[in-house]
Amino acid sequence: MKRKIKSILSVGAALCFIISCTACQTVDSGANISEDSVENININESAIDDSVIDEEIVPDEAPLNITKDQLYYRCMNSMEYLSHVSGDVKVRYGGKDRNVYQGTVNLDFVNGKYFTDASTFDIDNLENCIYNVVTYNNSNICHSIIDNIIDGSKRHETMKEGLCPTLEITTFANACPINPDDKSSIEAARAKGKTVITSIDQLSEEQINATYGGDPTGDHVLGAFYIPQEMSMGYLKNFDMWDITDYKDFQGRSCAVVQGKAEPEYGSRFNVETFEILVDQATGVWMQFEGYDADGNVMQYVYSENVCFDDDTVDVPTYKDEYAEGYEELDMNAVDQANIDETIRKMNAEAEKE
Amino acid sequence: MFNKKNLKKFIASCISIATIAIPMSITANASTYSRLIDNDPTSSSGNSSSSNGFSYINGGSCYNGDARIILSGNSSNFYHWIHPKISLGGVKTVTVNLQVYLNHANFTDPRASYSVYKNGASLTVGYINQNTAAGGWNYKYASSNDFTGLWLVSVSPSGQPNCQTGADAVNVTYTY
Repeated sequence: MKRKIKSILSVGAALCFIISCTACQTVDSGANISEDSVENININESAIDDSVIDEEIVPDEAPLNITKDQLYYRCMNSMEYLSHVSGDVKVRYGGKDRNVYQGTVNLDFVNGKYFTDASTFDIDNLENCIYNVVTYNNSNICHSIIDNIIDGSKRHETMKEGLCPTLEITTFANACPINPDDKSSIEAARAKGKTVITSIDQLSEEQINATYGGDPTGDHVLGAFYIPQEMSMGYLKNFDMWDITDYKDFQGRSCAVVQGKAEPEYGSRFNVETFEILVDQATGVWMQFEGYDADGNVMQYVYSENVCFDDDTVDVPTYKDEYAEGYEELDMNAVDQANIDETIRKMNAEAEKE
Repeated sequence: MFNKKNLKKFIASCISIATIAIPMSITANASTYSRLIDNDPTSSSGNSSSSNGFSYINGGSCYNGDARIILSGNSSNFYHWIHPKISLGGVKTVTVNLQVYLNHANFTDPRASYSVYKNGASLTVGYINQNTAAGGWNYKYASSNDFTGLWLVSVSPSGQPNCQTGADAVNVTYTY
């Protein structure tokens, strides 16, 4: 009965995504302002004296495409830019990880509600799921409903209070490179007496890695899509190894096309020599990633489809007690305290020996 | 379609993100405590460790050439890095800056979970995909307003099959 409920939920969620995402629009991308958007911005042309122009009047136009500095910072700090995102994701991390991870995410970072349904497949047998985790996190309690197909175990893990991951704002307030050609933003910042940052070099490594704390969703297995911090650091930290070669629309989002070569020390772990990433300019989300070996074979990937942002998403599914019927209950707060107690016993035993 | 409301929101966000502010939680009276703890620390370091089931491995790329590792399939397993206790003299807000050293090809857990003990309960600091983490130090941050003491950092496996969870060195900085 539990599997039937999950199947209905999955199908229902998929249908909702398909229905809503057929109307997905470019919202809040910041980079696709059409000419229609300037209709409410008035320029009093009669006040312009062509013979005496003290200041250059810059008419509103489409925001500049992001720079490499901006792109890297957003990939490292996507939490700072995401509001609500959903979609179907498939990831192969490669290297010695023989798994392929596939599933659905519906993540509301504004209201702190997250849903993921992630299945694990062995690379040698992609027909059969070997592990499935459905996570419901409302930032107060995180439920993980786990089916381990290999050993047949079925667990319902809960994490509450401090163990339940939440969105944490770091000690570093918003500090992000802006496009040096974005005169209006630079002038506005200076007018407020703020320091303008146009280069990653002006930020410390800690500031770049701020990422508003850790992944608040409770999942992270599909994180290469919405919080691509690890792979961004691995592939993009050395700016000499990659470039933004194009900007194009992908699934209704304005994306930067990143192409580059992997640092041998990092790429060799996954047999990746070159890569291409489609990065959502507004949020740093990796809409698509492919890492290629020397022959052009895809060795590592992140694929997404039916992706929706913000107003085009549906409500995040919430946990119901019936989802965990038939599953072994595991209070991870109690497990954690038991582990701490075991460590304290060992420490006391060592102290007594001395 | 981009409308005026979204345009204003976008401009506001550009202005807000174009600034650097003084870190809000560090005041003139704030204290910091930093500690680097490697796996299997010597007794002379003042640090210690504890685990259930993590095996010892040698590895030239690891911090000081060694680390600990375990199959990721049991999320109840743990590795604890322990430093001398800091008593906060009451309940305080603490910001945790946790740096995790990862540099071994066999560390493949896509969701290793890191936490610190608040001296009464634990606080999840963050998750790291150990497989794709860049070799070297990886950063995670968290804060909470109910710390009473500081002494333990923990990693737990994700529960995923076909993966292994590593435990090498951590460098933790508390600000309170």
